[in-house]
Amino acid sequence: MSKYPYSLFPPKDKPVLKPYIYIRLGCKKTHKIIPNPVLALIDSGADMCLCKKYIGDWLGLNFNKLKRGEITAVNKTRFVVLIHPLTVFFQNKIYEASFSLSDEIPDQTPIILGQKGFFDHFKITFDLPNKEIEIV
Amino acid sequence: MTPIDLTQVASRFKSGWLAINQRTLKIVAHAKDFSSIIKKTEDKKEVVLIPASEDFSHIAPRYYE
Repeated sequence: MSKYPYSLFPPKDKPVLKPYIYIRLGCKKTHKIIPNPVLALIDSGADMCLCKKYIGDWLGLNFNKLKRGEITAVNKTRFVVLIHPLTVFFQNKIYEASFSLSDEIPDQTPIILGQKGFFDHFKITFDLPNKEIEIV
Repeated sequence: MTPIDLTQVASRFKSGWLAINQRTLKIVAHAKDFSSIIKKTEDKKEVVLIPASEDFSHIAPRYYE
């Protein structure tokens, strides 16, 4: 299936339809793969893919050895990220993508899929009037 | 397409993680953190993992290197 419905999340009095999907992540080095899909936001405004640091913890990443980068958020605050390639499992595709790991991204969006690492692997159509996202 | 309405389900718990049956949208498990929800659900099928929260209404950040 390549069409996915938009999702509605709390609060109920301020409903906003958002393009969330569910993906699995893994790490080639540690051979660990998250067994069930995790909520991920398709964010066309994000340059790269990001995820919460605790996902990297679970995958067994050695944070002392990771390359560091810096990200500027929409409110111009800067925060440090740790960068590591992770394996993305989505639809029938399995591929490596560079992820920036940080505790600074919102708890409600544990994985953010951006241009590099997601949009460069799929053709994505946001059809909000029909409340669906097509990913091919 | 009918959107997936998780407004009630996701706000049942204020924090932690939820495992939800993708078909029925019923909560299968709740745990205080990511590692614990994986432990509780690694053998379960048709399950997706979402953070529990009363409010998902934040602005998606923009990133520049």
